[in-house]
Amino acid sequence: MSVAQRVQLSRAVLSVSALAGAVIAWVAFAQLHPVYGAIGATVIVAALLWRFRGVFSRRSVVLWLEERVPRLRFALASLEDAPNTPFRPALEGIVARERLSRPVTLAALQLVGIPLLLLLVMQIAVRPMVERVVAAGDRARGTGSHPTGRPGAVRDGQLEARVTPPSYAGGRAASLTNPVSIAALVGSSIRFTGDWTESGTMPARPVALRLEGPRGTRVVALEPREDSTPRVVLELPARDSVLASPTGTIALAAQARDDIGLTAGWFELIVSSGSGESFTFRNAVLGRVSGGNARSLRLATVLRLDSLGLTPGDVVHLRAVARDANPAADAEAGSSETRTLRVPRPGENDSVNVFPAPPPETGQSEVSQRMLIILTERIVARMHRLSSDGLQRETAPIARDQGRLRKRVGEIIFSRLTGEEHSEDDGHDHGLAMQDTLSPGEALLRAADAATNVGAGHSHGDEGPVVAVNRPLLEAFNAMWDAERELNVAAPRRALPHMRAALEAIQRARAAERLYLRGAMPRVLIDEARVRLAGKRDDMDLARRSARPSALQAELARRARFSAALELLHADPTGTSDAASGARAAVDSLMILRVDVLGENEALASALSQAITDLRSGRDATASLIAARRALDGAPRQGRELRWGGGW
Amino acid sequence: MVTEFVFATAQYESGDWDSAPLVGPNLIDSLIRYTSLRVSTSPVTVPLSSSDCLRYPLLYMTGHLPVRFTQAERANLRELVKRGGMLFCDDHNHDIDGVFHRTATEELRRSLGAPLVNLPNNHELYRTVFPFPDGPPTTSHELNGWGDNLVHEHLQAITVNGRIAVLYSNKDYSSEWSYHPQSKQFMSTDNTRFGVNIIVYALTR
Amino acid sequence: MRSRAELLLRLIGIAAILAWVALALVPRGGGHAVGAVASLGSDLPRWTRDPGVRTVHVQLDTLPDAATASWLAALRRAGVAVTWEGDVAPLAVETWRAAGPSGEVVVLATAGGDVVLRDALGALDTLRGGETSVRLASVEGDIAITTATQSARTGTAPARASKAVYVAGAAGWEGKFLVAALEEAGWRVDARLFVAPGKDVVQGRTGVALDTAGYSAVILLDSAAAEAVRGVEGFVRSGGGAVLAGTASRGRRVAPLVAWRAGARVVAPLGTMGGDTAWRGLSRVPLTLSSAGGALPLEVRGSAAAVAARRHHAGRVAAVGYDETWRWRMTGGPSSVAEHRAWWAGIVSSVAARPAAIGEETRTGAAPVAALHEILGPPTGTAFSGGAPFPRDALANLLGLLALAALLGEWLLRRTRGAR
Repeated sequence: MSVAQRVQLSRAVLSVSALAGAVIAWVAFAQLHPVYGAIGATVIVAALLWRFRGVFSRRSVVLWLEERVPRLRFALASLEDAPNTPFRPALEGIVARERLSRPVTLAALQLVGIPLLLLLVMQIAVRPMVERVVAAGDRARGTGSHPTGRPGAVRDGQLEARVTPPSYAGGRAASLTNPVSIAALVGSSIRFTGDWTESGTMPARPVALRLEGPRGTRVVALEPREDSTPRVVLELPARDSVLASPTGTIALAAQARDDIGLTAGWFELIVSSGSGESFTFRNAVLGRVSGGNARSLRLATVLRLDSLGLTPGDVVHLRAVARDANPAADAEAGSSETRTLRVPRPGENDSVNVFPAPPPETGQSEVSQRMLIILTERIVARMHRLSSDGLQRETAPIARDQGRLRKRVGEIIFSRLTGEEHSEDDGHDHGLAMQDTLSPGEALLRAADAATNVGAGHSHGDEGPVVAVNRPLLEAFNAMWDAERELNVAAPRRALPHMRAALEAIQRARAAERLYLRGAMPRVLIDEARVRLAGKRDDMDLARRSARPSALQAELARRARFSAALELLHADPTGTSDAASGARAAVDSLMILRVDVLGENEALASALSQAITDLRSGRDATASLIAARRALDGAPRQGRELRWGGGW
Repeated sequence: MVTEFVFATAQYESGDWDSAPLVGPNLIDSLIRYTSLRVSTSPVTVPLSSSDCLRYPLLYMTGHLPVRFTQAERANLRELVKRGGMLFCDDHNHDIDGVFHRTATEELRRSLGAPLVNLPNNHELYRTVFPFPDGPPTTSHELNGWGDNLVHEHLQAITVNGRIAVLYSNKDYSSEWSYHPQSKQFMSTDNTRFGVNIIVYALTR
Repeated sequence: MRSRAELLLRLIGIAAILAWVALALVPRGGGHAVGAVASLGSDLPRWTRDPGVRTVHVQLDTLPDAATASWLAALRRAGVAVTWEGDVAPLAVETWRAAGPSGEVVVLATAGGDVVLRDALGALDTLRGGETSVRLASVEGDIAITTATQSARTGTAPARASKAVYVAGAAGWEGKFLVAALEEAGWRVDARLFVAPGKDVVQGRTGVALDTAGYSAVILLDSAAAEAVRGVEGFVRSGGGAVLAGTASRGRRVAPLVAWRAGARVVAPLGTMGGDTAWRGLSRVPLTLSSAGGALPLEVRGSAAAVAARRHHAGRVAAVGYDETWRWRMTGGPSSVAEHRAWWAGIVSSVAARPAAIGEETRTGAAPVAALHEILGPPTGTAFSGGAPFPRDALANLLGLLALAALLGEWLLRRTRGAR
């Protein structure tokens, strides 16, 4: 073997030994910790290789041999430096006589042996110590004993989603890669491409969409976002008001905002006129402006009170309204709070005060004029079969009822004329209208005269306001009087025209004023002892109560689904294809659970979303699953418990 | 000891909430006549804008004028329903084209996020205490052609978990029951019995 | 030529190696073995194979697991004198399933200090020292409580289907909202609410006798219900549960169940909020417990109990003095509906018949310190008379490291000065 070959061989042996030693040293350090050990080992080995880099250099090896074999007397170095020296044979002879293998072998053993020894020490002593420290730390930290979601368990397939908002909302389309869920406006179009192909629109309710493709099933949650109703704030008028005089102007101002865009805004008025139970209503719209699809809109106008023709007692309800571009049939306009503007009445006592009566019913006492007519007509139909006594007996009750109704009408008229409360036994002089001896027409007209200074001979056209208002009732009163008189003498056939005239007059009065034959009542005291269980209960038949469904079943179903998903993950979180499919099934199950709770339990939905993302990315999902379980079950309830199971 | 039932009328800001002051005493009288329930003989009025209204799990509401709830009234109404209470709202106008009906139904829908739907006429409400096999009893105002001159076949309701949370009527029971309880002695059939059904339904469902 | 430092290091290294070898060769003295928890995994097999080991002393700074404890017990039964020492705080955990449709798991933990409650998924809660209990809506696998040095573990019984609850009383807000709360909590409710004489609103089965096959518990809302409902005493005696609310304790038919006197109703002072849990409504009937009767006050307000409970033969009875809890639900805070529901469901489940507890085989490890005492007897001091035990393995490790460090140091010194 030539000198050059011997040098080359020595270099090769040293290099290989150094590399082998480096590998062994790397393994010795790396096994201490999967991450930090590998990093540390790399750094240490790199430093060592740098320190011993000379083994890879021919010249360094030659000098090292010269140092180790002093008897070479630099013959080897000379041959290396000057290979064509004339003293080559002599120098080669010197080199040939020396054994270079011994130092090389020793060095190689050291380069490999020391790392091996290091490996042994690490394996026997250092690694167990490190593991004990790590285990103690894990116990203290509470790391779960079931790590979930090893890398790569559910990572597969590529899915792209393109989401285009509805045209009325404007906005650009968005692209998502491998989405766990898609949140978009209801009606947005969604197109899936990649390993799964599908298209559709965002529904109104959350749904877990199953996509089938050659890479299996992928579940994506569709989370609809509602187009919110515009928010409107009425700035002017700032509060409800009482208008001393309904003249002048009132400034109206409002601010409307929407998440997408407004199309129009306006002020809406409802004017209510009337009192008691007789009202009329007028609607009006003011200050309408176009929104131009802006997200914010100011409304301002002036309300001229004179134009409303308000009278005392009127009430104006005012609010601002704004509409967005949502074309859905059930899309609502946004509206502000309502302000109320009232015009006070000159007097407070504007209610009709009579002794209240129940509504007319067929029966023994108060019957409506209509029923009186029906009863009278029946008597007329049977008149030819009745004796005079029988006829008297039949007509007398009808006459009494007609009289009661007449007095009722008279009380109303009297109260309106005099403004006084009335009851039969209140000791007051109720006026001539209540006296049965006088002609009712004369009596009433006299009362009207006394109250309003309207003359008895006053013509229709010049009637004062009080008489004009009460004229139909006055006519009804007169007709009832005539009818009662005829019925009292058992002349039902002659009574009928008067009764019909009275009915027609009452209807005219009602049409004019929606008058109810009752009014405000003083405080009612109920004698419980007298009334208790005094009612007829023969036909009481109480229906059974039906049980109400409980939300617990849905909760238990969710917990069962969550537990089942954990079982699938715990089965074998690493490696086999069966485990991978189990993990995919678990992710799908969690996805379905997430969609189920959207809108009801946002904390759970958010935690499940994080867990699904962790599982799909191959990260450890333990922390997010614990958070999801907490959101699902709520915090543990601490409290007192008795050993026998009692607790609260 | 059982708490006594207190008849409460809801006072709201926008309209004539006090248009039927006799309904309360009349229904109280009826409850005492037909049941052994403990009942307060004095009705109360409670502002819907105050959380005090939650002390009365059944509220009665009526009027003629437009209904526009304030934020506080809406919030309290939502709480009342969420916690298991009930609102009985009656249109004193008896007019489905009228302002009270249009505005009240709109406000109820906005406040509770659900529309009023027709209550079937075989609902247990019509059998809770007294039987009404044909559904809601017709009022004299319907028969006499008041308001919209219609006889409304159904009441309307918002139900929550199978329970009536809001009962709405266009039949003007407020007028029908606005009389002094002593007048019942003159009536062959007490027309407030349906009110007993409503109250006992609220107390037991 | 080596320097003095190098020679010294080489001598130290060689001496350490020789000492290590000597230590390994010399048998452990007198057949006595000492170990710590950390090394038991390797020591136990060695002690078991070594016929010379006659006494073993273990230092337990942490508790060994069940398998290790059993091995030590087996050594003892084989004739080796096993002693131990250690200052381990007692730790115990117990679980049972609450009666009722929710299937809640009740965990009772006893510990000297704070412990972490966990299951197979991970940590659930931190419990303070002493005896504490929690209710868990669901559990994965076994339940364990852990400290830094030890853990106790137990299984949980499977959930069982629950039976119905029977509610009786005058129709009113209290009955309405109690039935609603129980139904919301998942209970199946049969009810009888009195409206008029002979006229009741009923739900569920009617005319069926109270028996433990069909019902878990009965709730009587007032004295009228206590008079009207028959068979309550027999139902409780055979294992059912009864809740006597308001004035129900005054009923003659339930007198055998009662070991308290229901006093005059007390109304909350003006200004009290309906959601004030001290009142749970705005009024209550105070319960004065009799000294003999075995009743326990569960909630005390003022000088009297507001909630009390006692056993009656195989069953349980609870008295609830609050008679307007519906106000708590209607006028309380944002969570009062859920709180009212949970409170009533808890009371009913506390008296309802409970499913059987878990078997003994799943309870192993539930009280590890107690189990250790049972296996090995009480702890003793050191087995040697005077002095600390000989840390043999630690010394061996130290000698090995010393040898390595000395030889490495010597080599480095030589290399740095350029020598071979």
